Amino acid sequence: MSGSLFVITSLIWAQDFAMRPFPARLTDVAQQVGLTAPVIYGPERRKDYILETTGSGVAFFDYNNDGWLDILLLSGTRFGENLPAEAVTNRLYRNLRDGTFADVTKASGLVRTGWASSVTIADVDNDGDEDVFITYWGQNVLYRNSGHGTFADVTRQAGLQHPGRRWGAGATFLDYDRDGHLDLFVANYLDFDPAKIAKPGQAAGCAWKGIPVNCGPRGLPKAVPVLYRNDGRGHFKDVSVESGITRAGPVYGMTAAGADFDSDGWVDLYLASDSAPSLLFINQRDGTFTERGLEHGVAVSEAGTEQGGMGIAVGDFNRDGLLDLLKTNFWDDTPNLYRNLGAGQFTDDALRAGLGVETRFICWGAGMPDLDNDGWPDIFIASGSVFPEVEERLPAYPFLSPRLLFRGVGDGRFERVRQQGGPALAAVHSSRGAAFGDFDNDGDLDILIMNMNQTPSLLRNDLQAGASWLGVRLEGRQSNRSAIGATVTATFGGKPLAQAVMAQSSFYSVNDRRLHFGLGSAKTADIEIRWPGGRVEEVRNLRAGQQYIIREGEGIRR
Amino acid sequence: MTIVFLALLQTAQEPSLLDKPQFVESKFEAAVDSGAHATAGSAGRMILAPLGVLQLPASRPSASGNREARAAHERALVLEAENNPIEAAKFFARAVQLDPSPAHLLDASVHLLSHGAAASAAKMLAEGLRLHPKDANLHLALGVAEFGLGQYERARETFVAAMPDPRSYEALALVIEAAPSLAGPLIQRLGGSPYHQALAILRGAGAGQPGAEGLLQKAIQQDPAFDKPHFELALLYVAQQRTMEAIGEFEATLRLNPDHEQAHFRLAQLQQRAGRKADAETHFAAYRRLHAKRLESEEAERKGRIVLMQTPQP
Repeated sequence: MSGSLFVITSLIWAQDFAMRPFPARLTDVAQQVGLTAPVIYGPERRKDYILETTGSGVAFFDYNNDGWLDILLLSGTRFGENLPAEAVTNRLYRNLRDGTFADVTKASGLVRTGWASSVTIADVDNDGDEDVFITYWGQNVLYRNSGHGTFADVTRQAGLQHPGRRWGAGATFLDYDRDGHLDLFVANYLDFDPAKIAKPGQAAGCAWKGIPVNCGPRGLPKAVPVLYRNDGRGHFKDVSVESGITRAGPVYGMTAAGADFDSDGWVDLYLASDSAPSLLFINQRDGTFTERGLEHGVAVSEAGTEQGGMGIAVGDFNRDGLLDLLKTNFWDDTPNLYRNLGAGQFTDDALRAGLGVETRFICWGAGMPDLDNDGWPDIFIASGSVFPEVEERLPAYPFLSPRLLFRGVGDGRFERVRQQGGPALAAVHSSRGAAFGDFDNDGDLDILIMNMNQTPSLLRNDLQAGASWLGVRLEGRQSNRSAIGATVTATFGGKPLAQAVMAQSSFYSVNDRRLHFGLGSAKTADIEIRWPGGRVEEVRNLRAGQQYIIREGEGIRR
Repeated sequence: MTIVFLALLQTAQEPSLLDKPQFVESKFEAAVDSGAHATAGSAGRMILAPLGVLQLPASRPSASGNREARAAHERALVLEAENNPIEAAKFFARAVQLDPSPAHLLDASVHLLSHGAAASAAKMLAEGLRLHPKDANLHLALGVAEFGLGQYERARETFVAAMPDPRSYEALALVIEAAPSLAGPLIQRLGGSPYHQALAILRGAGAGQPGAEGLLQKAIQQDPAFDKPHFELALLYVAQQRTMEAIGEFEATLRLNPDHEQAHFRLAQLQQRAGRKADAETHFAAYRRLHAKRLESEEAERKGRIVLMQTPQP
């Protein structure tokens, strides 16, 4: 490819924007607000098994419907150590509305130990509160929210028990058949049995640049994803075969994201895959999917090679009203920034957009939040190595690494933000999941991050006043209550900006379900809502600086 | 003379974690093993494949008259094949210490470069060139090291010193792509074929530069059986959104080289977007077949290396 014109143009852009201050400043306040327990995930400085390396997701969600975001952190455990349950459980933190959090894990009924991977959250029974599904190496778990601050494990009643031990990975609720009931897609990473797996350095796929490391994923058996259909009566049925999901064959599945990528009004599915082509399941509108990742340009690199796909962000980085995709990848690679050309066809703009300057870190959780509310989505990426053994001999590949922030400078281009973005960017961790949301309701997006064997990070965004914003929360009526699968397009400053309501993205994580639009200098915006049930509605002249709740067919509620 | 071999694979002169990133962070295409996780090979994506482009003749048997040096070099080659780059580097260095021949210097430095130790390689090569000032391979390897360190202007001069070796044009094209400001004075000094001149212009000034298209067409006229100018022309047309012409050039590439995996893939994508779905499916199928074959071959090679690792060495 010949990208020099872009290089020159980028330099000009960079010069312009280097002069402009970045008004958002990210500070890690996790310790001071009460997120003090470390997230255990395998040993700290040695990883014998790939299971100990992939880590877990996090969620911003409002479990008690008080209008303030609460926090869910998933946990792993350690082989051969008899750790107390309170040390290795998933944790739920309630937002105390004063900038601090209280650990309510025990009271909520969410204490559970094991190797948790990902989380997907939505009102799966349409009763007005958010339910939680967590994938595990072992048995995945569905928790029903009682609406009174507690959760009940309803996995068995819901028909989600499965035979044998699977390594559940990415998962997302979605309403693929538009019946108003949320269905469930679950990816599996690989078949993992510690009794059968070779130790570091002892088989093919167990060395990295000559240094013995944990084995896999190549060399270990891939696994097929599963699609469950919700019958509307609290029961799920495995429809993987009849829906066409299994025809794609096994992959090393990681994060899953459901949204209407081809703008036909039906939710599609994108699955990031590690060391294998990523999959794009196009909804055929008849209860089936066809896998078309290669044909739509999102399966492999621009040159046709597999990548180590980890996380997914969905947004509209060039503000053309179409949902684009960002996929994070392994070492020695850049992320993919797939620009939607229309009808679900994509082209990788990563280098043209300016993301090619950084390839040193393994990248995981990611999002396209507009952190400075200037109306252009930015890109945030959490990073961290999977091989603690490597840096001692090859310091160029550190185990702990910083966060990456690229500010959107308009027209689909980005520039790297460093010190200007605050001290939390340079802090090094081995991070995995990341979620984006406004936990302190101050009109800017904050970031929650899982750090392996460390306390989590909560990056509070202290944004200088100036640019305006708009919050939109949807409530489905004919559509599923959480409006998962909806696309909202805000038009301001003469250009559209599309966002999707999703039940999983980033890496194994869940973002604030309220969509946040930075509006720049605009004072109002018009929005178009494409509900997952097919209805299209418009709401005009929404004033900046407010959170709106919009109910399907009824308009603004508040 | 004794070459002082710096700490192997050390990174003292490499950028620190939070330095402004330069292209040095990218690993070269020739890196021995990316492990069991697939990467796109940032080298290709980051236009940083100088080792792959130059095809420096590394890993050849030593013809040294010094028996100990020859033994150290042979041991290094074995260790390299066993995917043990750190131990291999020590033996390559030992061979250089005992006999700083061009072959030993080249193998040792290419090995270092392959593992991202560009600063160490540059020091070794600079000293080696004092002994062998006319060796084109050593000049090219030094240019690669300087390129890897982000010293583009120095790399440009080093590659120019290797002219008229045809590989120097390919290398210079990479330099210009990384540092377009160096293009102007360089293009005027370039000789070589129209294809290489076009590459330099393309890498330097981008697809908007009209001269490149004419040079590539001239290269095609001069050697109609050469597939590379067609492929470059197709990429140029893609960048200029001249889809139908790009399709034509990818098709020409494939007439000359039916197993060009990337041409099949890129052509299929263009046809898909142009609504030529049946044609696209044909080329996606060809891509899938060639890609699977390549993966199979790489997997066999990887397993072969493990077998070698597990075989006791004498």
